[in-house]
Amino acid sequence: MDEVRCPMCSKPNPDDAEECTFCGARITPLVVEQPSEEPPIEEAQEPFESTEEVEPAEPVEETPRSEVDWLSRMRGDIDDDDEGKQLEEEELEATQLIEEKAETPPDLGKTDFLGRMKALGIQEDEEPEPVIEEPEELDVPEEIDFIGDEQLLEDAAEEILPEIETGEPDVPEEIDFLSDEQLLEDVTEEIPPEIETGEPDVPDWLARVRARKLTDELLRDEELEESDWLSGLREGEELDEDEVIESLESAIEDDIISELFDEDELPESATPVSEDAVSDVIDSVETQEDIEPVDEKELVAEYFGEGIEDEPDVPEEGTGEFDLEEVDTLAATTLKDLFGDVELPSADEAIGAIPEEVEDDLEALEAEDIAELLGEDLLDDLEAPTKDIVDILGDDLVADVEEDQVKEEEVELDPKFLADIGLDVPQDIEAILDEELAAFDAELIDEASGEWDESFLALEPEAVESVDLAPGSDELLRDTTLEEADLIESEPLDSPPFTEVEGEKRAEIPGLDAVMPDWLEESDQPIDEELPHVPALILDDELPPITSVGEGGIDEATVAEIPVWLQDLREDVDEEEEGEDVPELAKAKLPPWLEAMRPIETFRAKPEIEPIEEEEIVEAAGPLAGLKGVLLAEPVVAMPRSPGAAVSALDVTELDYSKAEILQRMVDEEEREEALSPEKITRLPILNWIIAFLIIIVAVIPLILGIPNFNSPTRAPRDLSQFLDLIRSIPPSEPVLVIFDYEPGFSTEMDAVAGTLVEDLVGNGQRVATLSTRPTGPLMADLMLRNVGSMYGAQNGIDYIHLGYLPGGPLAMSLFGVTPREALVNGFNMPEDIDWETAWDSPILQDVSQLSDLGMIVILTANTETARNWVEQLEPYAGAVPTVMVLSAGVEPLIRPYFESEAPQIEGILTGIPSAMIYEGVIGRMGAATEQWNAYGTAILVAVLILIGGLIYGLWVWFFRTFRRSD
Amino acid sequence: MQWAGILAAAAVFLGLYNLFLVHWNKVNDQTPGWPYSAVLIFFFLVTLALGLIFGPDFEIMGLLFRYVQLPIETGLMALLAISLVVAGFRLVAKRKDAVSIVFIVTALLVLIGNSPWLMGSESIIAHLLGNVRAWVAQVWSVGGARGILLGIALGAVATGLRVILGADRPYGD
Repeated sequence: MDEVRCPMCSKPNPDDAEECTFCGARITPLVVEQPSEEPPIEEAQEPFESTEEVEPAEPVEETPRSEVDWLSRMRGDIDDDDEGKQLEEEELEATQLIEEKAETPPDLGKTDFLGRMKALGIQEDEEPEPVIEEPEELDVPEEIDFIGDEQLLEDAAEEILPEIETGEPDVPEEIDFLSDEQLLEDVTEEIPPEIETGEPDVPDWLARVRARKLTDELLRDEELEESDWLSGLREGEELDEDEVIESLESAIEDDIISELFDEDELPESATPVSEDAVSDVIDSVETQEDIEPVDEKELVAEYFGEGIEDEPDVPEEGTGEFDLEEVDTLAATTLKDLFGDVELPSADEAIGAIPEEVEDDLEALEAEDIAELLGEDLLDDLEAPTKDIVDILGDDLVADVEEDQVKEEEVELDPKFLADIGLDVPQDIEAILDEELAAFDAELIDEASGEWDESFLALEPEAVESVDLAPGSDELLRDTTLEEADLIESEPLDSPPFTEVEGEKRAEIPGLDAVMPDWLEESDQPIDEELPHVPALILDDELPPITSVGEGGIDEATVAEIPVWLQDLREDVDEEEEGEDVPELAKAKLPPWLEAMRPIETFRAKPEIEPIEEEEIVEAAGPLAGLKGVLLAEPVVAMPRSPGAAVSALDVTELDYSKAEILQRMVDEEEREEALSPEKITRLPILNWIIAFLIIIVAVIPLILGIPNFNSPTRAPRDLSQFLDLIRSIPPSEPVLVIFDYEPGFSTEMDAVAGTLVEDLVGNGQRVATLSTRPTGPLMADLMLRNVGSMYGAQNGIDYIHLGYLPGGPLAMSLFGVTPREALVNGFNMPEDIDWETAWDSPILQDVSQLSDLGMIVILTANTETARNWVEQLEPYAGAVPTVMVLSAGVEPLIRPYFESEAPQIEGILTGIPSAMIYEGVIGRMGAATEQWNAYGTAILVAVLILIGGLIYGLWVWFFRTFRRSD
Repeated sequence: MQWAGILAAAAVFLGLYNLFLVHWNKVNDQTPGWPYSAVLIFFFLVTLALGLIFGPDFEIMGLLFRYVQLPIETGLMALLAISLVVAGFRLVAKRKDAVSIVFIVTALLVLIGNSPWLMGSESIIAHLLGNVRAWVAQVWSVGGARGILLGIALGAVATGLRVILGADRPYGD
C-alpha cells in the first residue's frame, strides 16, 4: 500500500487516510467552495434581444480561473427550476452540432476530454507538476467532441440532482448502463461512423425514455405554455399533438437561432443568420441523411406506449423548419435498431414502459462488438480518475450524491464483470475493484450519465439511429458497461490494468486480449506523464483551473473547444439567476451617454461587498472549517485591492515642461565633472617690494653714510621746558620710579626718547627703581639701565633696582598704589652679592613704603590705555609726587588732555624724536634720537613721496580713462 | 587685591595653556600652517622650561629677549610702517573718493609736520605746517579717538546690561 506523508509532520500515513495518525492534520484536501468575487461577465448581463440584433460577440478572454468560477457558479446555482430550460438548451445545442456534423465529415483528430482527464488523473497521482498533454493522443470525432465540454457535463450532472431528490423510480440494474455517463459518451462517440449509414435503429423503449425525460424537463418549465401537454401526458390525459409539435419546434428553433448567431467560434455564425437560413440548414441535414418522414402519431405511440391513445394526427411541417419529431423519430428508430424490439422490464419503473427484451438483447451482445461500439474513448473515460469527475461535476453534486447513496444504498455494482464476460480476473485486481467500488458513488455517474444520455439521444437522433449493434450483444454490453462503470468508480489510476505495468497485468488475465477492443488497446499505452502534486488541503480558490494545462487542469485546447453557445448558456443561466424575481423583465441596457458618465469601476468600490462576503464566506481551514459567516481574520481594509480612485493624468503645461527641463539641466550639470578653473595668476607684490626697498634704503643709508644730514629742530616743544624743570626738581634722596610699559616693538622710538630721560636721571645721580605691567617690561628696563649704567657707572642694586613684573592690569596698579610692598615682593635680576632679600630691602627702596615716598613717577608707554590706567590708578595715592609720561608720537594726542587740563593729572610729557633730540641737545649729549634723526627724516620723506606718487598715479589713470571715454 | 593678582596670574596661565592646546591640535590634525604651530610649541616649551628651571631673570632668558624677541618685534613695527605706506599708495591710486582724499591729506600733513627737513626750517610754511599738524593731531585726532573711546565705553555698558539681563548669552546656547 502506498504511503502518504503528512504535510505538517512529514510522517508516513496510509494512502487512504484522511487525517494524519500522528499529528491529526488533514491529509485529504478539504475542498470548500468559496464564492467567487469576480464580477459577472458583462456579456451575460446583457439582455438577449434577437439574433438579428446581436452583434458577433467578442472573443472571451477569460482566464482559466474565471472559467472555473463560472463553472462553479453554474454548478452551484442551477436549481430544479432551471433544469428544464437547461436540458432544452442542451438539446438544441446538440442538434446544432449534429447539423454541423452532417455538413462536415467527421474528424477523428479531435481530442477527448475524458481521455485527457484520465491522463491528467494519472499524472496527479504520480507527479506533483502538471504536464501538458498532447491533444493528438486521443482521437475523437468532431461531432461528439462537445461531449468533452465540461460545461455540458456539468449541466448534465446538475440535471441529475432533482431526480435523485425527487426519488424517481430507479433504473433497474439491467438497464442501469444506459444512465452511465461514460458509457453513453463512448456510445455516442461510436455513433458518428454509423451516421453515414443512415440506418435508424432505435428501440422503442429508449425513444420513450428520451421522450419521457424531455417531457419531464419541459413540464418543469412553467414559462413555456407548450409544456402543458407533457404534463397531460404524464397524467394520462389526452394530448394535442399539434400543440406539442408547435411548442417544441418553436422553442427549439428560437434557441437554435439565438445560439447559432451569437457565437464567435463557429465560423458560419460570424454573420447574422435568419430563421429561414437555419431552417434551410436543418432541411439540408434532413435531406442529406435521407430521413424518412415519420408519422407523428406513431412516434408518440412509440414513445409513451399505451399512455397515449387516439392522438390527433400531427400535421406535416414545412420544409424550411426544424422538425423535432423527426429527430426524435430518428433517435427512436436508431435505438430500436440497436437494441432490437425488446422490452426492458425495469424501464417501466424508472421512466415508463421499457420492454424486457432489452435485457436479453443486451446479454446477447458480444464483447468484441461492445469494444468496437464503445471505442477507445470510452476506455479512456473509464480510466479517468474519480477526482477529475468530482472536479468537473462539482463538490456539491458529489456531496448530494453521496448523501443519496447513504440513504438509498440501492446500487450494487458487481466488480467481477470481467469474470462474467469470461475473463479470468486475478484476486488482487478484484480486491482493488471491490475496494474502490465501495468508495465510489455509482449512482452519481448513473444518474448524470443517464440524464445526459437521454438528453443527448434526444438531441442527436441521427447519431443514435446510426448505432448498429450486433444481435445478442446487448447483454454483453449491459454487463460490460456495468462493470466498466464500476471501474470508473473504483479503479484507481495506479491500478495495474491501466498503468505502465498494464501490459504485464493484462497478460495475466487470460482471455482479456481476446475481448479487448481496438480502442481499449490503444488506450493501454503506458502513460509516462508526470502527475501533479496534490496538497493536503485545497480550497476552491486555490484549486488550479482545470482548463489550464499549466496549472494542472485540462489543457487549453479543451478550453478553446468550448463552444460559445455553451458560454452563452452560462450567461443565460446567470441572467435567470438575476431575474428570478422578475423573470419577464429584460435587463435594462444603459444608453451610451449614460455609460460614458459612469464612474470608473474599481475593485470593491461598492460598500455592499463586505456584508456579502460575511454572508457567503466559508471558513476553509482550521477548527471552524465549513462554517459560514466566520469573521475574517484579515480586515477587509487590509486586503489587497486596487486604488479607489483612478490616478488622474498629470496635466503638464508648457511652463511646467520648461521648468522641468531647466531642473533636469541643472541636475545634469551637477553630475558633470567640474571644469578646471584657469590657474590663478599670482602677481608678485612688486609694488610692495619696491616701496619696502625704498624705505629700507633711505633708512639705512643715513645710518651708514650719515647723509642726508637734516638740521636739528629749531623750535622746541612748548611743554619740554616744564618737563625739564620737573626732572631738575627731584630730590636726590628720593628714588624715581620708572615704569617701563611699552612693547619691544616700540623700543626704537621709546628707547630713543626714554633713554634720554634715563640718562639724565642716572647722570644726575638719581636712584631708579623700575617695574612693568608687561612680561617683557623688566627685560626692557634691565637692558636700558645696563646700557645707561655702563655709560654712567651705575650698578644694579645700588643705583637702580628692578621690582619686576606686576601682573593684574589696572587692579594690580591700584594695589601697587595702595601697598607697593605687598604688590611686588620679589625683585627682578637682583644682584648676587647683596645682603638683603627683596628689592624693597635694597638701599634704594628701603625707605619707600608708599608712593608718596618716591621722588617722581615716570611712565614710559606707547599705549593709550596703559597710560590712562596708570594715571587713573596712581593719582589718588601719588599725592604730591609728580607724574610724567614719555610717550610715543601716536599716543601723545590722546594723553595730552590729562596734561593740558586745568587740574592736570600728568605734570609733564616727553614725546617723539624731535622732542628727544631737543632734550639731548639740552643735556648736551648725542643720544639715539640724534642718531636716528637723518634716517627718520629720509624715511618720512620717502613715505610722503610714495603717497604723493600714488596720488598722481591714480589721477593719471582716472584722467586717461576719462580721456579715452571721451574719445 | 592680592587675590586679584593671583587670579590674573592664573588667567595668564590659562591663556598660555589655551595657546599651547590650539597649536598642538593644529599639529596633530596636520592643518595648513601646522609647522608654524610646531615652532611656536617648541619655543614655548623651551622658554617655559627655562623660566621654571632658571627663573625669569636667567641670563639666557635675557639673551633670548635681546637677540630674538626684541629684533622680531622691532622688525614687525618697521614692516608696519612699510605696509602703511603701501596701503596709502594703493588707496590713492585705486580709490578717488572723499575718504581717500581725507586720508591722504591728513597723512601728508602729519608726516610733513613731523619731518626733520621741515622742523629744522625757519620758514613760515614750516611753521604753518607745524601748527596744522599739531591742530590735526591734538584736535581732530584726539576728538576722534575720544569719540571712539566713548563709543567703546557705551558699547561695553550696553553689552554688560544685555548679558546681565540675559538678552545675550555669549557663552551659552
